[in-house]
Amino acid sequence: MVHASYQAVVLAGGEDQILYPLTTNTVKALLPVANKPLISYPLRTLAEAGLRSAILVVIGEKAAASVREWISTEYAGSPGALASCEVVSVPEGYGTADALRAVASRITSASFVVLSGDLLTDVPVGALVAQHNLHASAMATMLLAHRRVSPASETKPGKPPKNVDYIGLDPSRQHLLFYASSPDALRDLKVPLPTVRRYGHMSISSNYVDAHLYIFNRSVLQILADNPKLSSLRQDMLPYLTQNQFRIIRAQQLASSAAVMAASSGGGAGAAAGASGGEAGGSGAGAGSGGVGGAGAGASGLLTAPSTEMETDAASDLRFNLHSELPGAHYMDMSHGAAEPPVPESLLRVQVVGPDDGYCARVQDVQMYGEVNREVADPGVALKLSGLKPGRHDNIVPASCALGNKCTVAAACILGEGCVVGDKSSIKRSVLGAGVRLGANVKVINSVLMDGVSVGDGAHVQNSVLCRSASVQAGATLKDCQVGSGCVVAGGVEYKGEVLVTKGAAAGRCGCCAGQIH
Amino acid sequence: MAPKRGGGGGERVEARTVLSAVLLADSFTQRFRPITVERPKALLPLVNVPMIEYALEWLAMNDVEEAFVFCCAHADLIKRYLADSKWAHSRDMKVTPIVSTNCLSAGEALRLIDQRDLIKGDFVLLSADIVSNMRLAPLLEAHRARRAADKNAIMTLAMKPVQHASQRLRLGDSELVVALDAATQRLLKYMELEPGRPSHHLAKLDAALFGERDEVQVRCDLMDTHICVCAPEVLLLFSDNFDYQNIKRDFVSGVLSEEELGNKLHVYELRQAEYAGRVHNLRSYDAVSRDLLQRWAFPFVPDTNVLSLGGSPAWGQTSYRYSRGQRYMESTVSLARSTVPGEDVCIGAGTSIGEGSRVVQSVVGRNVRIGRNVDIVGAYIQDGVTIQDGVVVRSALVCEGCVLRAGCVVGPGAILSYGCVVDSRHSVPPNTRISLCLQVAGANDDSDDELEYSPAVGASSPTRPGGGRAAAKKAAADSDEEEEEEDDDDDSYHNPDQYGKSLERPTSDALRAAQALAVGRPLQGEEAGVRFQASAVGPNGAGYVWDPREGPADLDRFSIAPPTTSLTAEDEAAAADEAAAAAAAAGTGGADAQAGGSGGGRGEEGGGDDSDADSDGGGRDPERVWRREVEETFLRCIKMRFDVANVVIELNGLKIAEDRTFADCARYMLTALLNLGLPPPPRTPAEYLPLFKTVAPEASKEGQLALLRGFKQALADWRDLLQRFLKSEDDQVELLLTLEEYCSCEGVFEADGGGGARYAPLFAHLLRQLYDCDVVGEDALLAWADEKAAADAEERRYVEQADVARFLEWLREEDEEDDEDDEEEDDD
Repeated sequence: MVHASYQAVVLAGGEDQILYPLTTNTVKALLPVANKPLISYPLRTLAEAGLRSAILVVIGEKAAASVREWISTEYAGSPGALASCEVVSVPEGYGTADALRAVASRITSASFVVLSGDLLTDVPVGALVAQHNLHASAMATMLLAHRRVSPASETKPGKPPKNVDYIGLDPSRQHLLFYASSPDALRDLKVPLPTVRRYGHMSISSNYVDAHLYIFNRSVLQILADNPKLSSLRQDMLPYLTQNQFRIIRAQQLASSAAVMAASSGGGAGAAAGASGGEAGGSGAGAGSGGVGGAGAGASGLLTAPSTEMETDAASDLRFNLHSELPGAHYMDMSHGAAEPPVPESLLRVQVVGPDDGYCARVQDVQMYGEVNREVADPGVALKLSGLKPGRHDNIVPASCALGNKCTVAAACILGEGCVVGDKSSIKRSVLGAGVRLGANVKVINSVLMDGVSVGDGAHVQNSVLCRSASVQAGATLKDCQVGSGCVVAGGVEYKGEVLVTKGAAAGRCGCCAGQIH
Repeated sequence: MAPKRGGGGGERVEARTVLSAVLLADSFTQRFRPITVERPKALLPLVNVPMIEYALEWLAMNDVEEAFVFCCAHADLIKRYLADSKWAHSRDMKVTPIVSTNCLSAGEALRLIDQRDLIKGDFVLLSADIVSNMRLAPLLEAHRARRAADKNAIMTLAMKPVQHASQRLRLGDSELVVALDAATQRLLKYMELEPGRPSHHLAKLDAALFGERDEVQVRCDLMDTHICVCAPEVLLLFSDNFDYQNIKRDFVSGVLSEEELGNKLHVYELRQAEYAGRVHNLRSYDAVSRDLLQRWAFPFVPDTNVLSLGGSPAWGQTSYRYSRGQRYMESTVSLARSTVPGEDVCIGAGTSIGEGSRVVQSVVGRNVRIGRNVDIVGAYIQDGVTIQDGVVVRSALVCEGCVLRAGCVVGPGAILSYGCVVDSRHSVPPNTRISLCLQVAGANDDSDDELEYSPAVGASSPTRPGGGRAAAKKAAADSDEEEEEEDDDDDSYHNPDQYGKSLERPTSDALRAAQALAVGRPLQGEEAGVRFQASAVGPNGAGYVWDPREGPADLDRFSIAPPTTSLTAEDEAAAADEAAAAAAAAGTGGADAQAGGSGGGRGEEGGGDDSDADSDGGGRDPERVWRREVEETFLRCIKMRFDVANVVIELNGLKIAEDRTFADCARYMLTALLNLGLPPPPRTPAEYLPLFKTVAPEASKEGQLALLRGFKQALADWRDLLQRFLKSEDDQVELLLTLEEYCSCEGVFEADGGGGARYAPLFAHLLRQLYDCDVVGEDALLAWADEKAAADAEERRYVEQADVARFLEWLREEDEEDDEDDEEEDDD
């Protein structure tokens, strides 16, 4: 395999509080998305890119154990799975950069992929890695996705938007030049002008979101080791790299040009020798500093190459002499014609995924969880991401399901094995786990019903997430609700936008509604 | 599409407005002095054609039907010129001069045009020193389309993308940073950065801009062409805001800062091949001349002969022919056999060049006599100049009628104004300006001045363009006074009969003496009384040195000689990182502490400067501004020794004006009192400096005691005042919270340079004193402690100080005792 030479680190998280109550009895990585554990999606993305092994970093020993168990019992050996998945646990409170630091010793390849365990994407990671390796001076390549909702449309004019990242890109949208982020609304952005001058033009956008897929060079690990304060990749590491990128590039160039000097002094004088010396220096530096320096050396080799003597024939001699001593000849060249400097290389490259370029979503909160489930169930996406094959009606209904009379299962629905759907029920844009039982006249719209959920006759479930073994009694109406696992929702009552859990699991957060249920 | 054809025709005729242009034939600057003392800049030849022709021809080329030429300085000369030129009879474009001799700025010119009600529709606004070959139609189209959709899109500015940062250096422009809405090209921010000021590493961008759009472009690669298309509302705005002087500095920044008025400016980018350059200083005079010679502004190249020479009919069209290597010559140039005209040369009719001479990259006018073995490189020689044998001219401008005697040397950057004579074998130092006019110290009589550059202001303080409207207003106020003083002069000056008697115009004696010297005739009579500066022009030369009143940096930047400085990429890279680090340190979202303390300080300074330079000042922290106001008001009261009642009135006024609470006042009064025991914090106005301590107190016991004593004294003086402003327990708690912030240098106190930290160990004593003086009651102290009990560790730092805890303990006991006492009393 071409890409087998690089490694992958999946930051799988742990028991996520944000996803409460979905994660009360399970870890985030194993939450079902279209009836497959969340973690299986990034693993599949990696496997499709030709990788063999991955390191899964899980927060908390308990969570790590359950992920490990899933891998050994279900994942390992399944078709298309990675050959080896190592699960590493880190203590609570570790940031993403800390997690990476913790597994640094296990990373041996020159470049490696880091992705978040809650990322669902069909962007070809292999192509990204190839891109990254093409631009040898790049230390990191990151994936940026468009926000689904423009931040400006949610903000009043004259007020700064909240909870956005300000990402400054060069005109070609390949280099990350500026990064500012704050959970609160920033008052103003302080744009470093020399960086803008370097590229002439920088567009700052609030409309991108970091997709948490990075390709790093090994040298990043060194930076992490040198700066123990960097705790989060997004909040500390990226700003650090954007702020220091030119300094780091220069340091690299200096180091490699020193290597060139050493090589060319041995090889003899002259431009041609200098060029070959550059190559030699490149390989030398590559051996010395591991790949990164090699590119810099190559570049500086190019810089020395044009110093070949300018040849002048006798006929143009006079003209040339006149020209060379003219005052200000140099600045005429600068301002007109093909004097445009080549776009400087940068440490941080970005790949922007447009809304039409591919699918890219992260399960970060409950709302997103529901949305991702629905989107993955979409026949266009389902095939690519989950490997499921939609049936005749653009939905997935296994043969083991028992469908009642006059019940409808609309397109873009996924039903698990052994579902029972009562008469005249209808399911639209929803995902049902294995063994879900729906009574008669049930309506399920835009919802996720995990394994073993049962819904009584005449109940309506809309925009809700029902966790494992929850049960809704006849005639209940749920709208925008999350029901914890094992919770029993009383019949005939209407719930809107509530979190319903059993008393034991409620831990004082939703005691009042839990009380009603029993 | 046309439902009523009959009626529609008439309407359409009415709806069609004439496309007009306003051409400002006066740039209101004095960069071209002393040349502009004698002739207007608009008529200065640029590659042997009066400058104004390029602009007029460009307007005519782009179907402009009516051009108003606004004449100010030397209005009579320009008017006469236009009357004689082909434009007087042109049918395509009507050229109307508008004369006003007392306008001092572009703003006043536009107000005058508004008063006269000359313009009904959209118009092109430009100055007479622009050379461009851009097509106006797409710009107009874009402007009109926007106007049709939104009446508030009042102006479209044409900007040219540059490929290299040195383009600016080449034109002597200041650096321009603009922020644009990526989708609509709407201008959001316009910042001109003067070189030489160090704090150019950060640009502040108001995050609120992202409330209306998702993407903002920050661009350094645009060059303002100073061509814009305006709606008539622009004139109204100038009339409404009588203090607008400069179009860019006042009007553009004014419109951008008053966003609530809804006016919008947009930017149009020139195509890659289109040219636009403005001759607004000698540097750009050289650069644009070279561009013209190298055919960047086609069709404006000498050999197309499209431009007429204007003036008297005898001049007519030019008759240049092109030969290889950008050599342009008119038919009757006589060259000696051994003469080699180099590349980039333009030579006018009737000029003769002697044996062995070399002319390279230069423009030579008509009827110039160049002797033998003369070396001319990069120079601009106007009509009728005599250059004798063996003269060397490098990168200089030599005006009409000058005589350069044999063997003299004119150094780079020299300007010889009309009729000067340089003696043989004399060498004129680089960057010298020489004129027959005697410079009058502090004179401000020529309207070819921009206010900010007027000598009176410029001499006292270095000019600071981009200094915002406050500076402009101040300058305006200054010059208003001057204007009044010189009103009488103005009248006589602008009276054509007495024109020659102006302050700085050359005297007739000087003129005659110079003529005599030029032809080598001995001086007679009064001529002999004229003493020219021999150091500048040699013993038999004619001319006075003219001080351009520019700093050394400006001298290099605006010199006609090519610039010597250049930017290197490496410096930029280092600066880039530093700036980014500073940005992070100064930014609110700076998550990591990599930049360290010094970086933070630097960033703060940079930010401060920026906000000072910002004319709107909208980006500043309101709390910080408020604190400064209270402290300064309070300091003023201390300095003036106001009594408490008056201080209360002052501060109450401030409080009402800013809509604040009493506690808001009290908080910063307290911190001001605390600050008095320390050296002045950065940015304290100079007048209050004596109130502060000169040296920081020592960290020792004695130092701390002294600090406390000072505070006790101050508190004793001002306790009444503080009490008046602390109306309730809540107010007092707030005071304590502020005190905490102050001691840990957080929030608004971050920029103080850590002075508050001196008080941190004394926190308990401060509380005690506040309690003793009845500024803060025990209820408030206990409430504060209770509030803190629930906070996290960082917040509890002070409450948990041993002394503080003991003090609070004592208070509680006291409290209980009181309660007990009460109870006992009750029992009784």
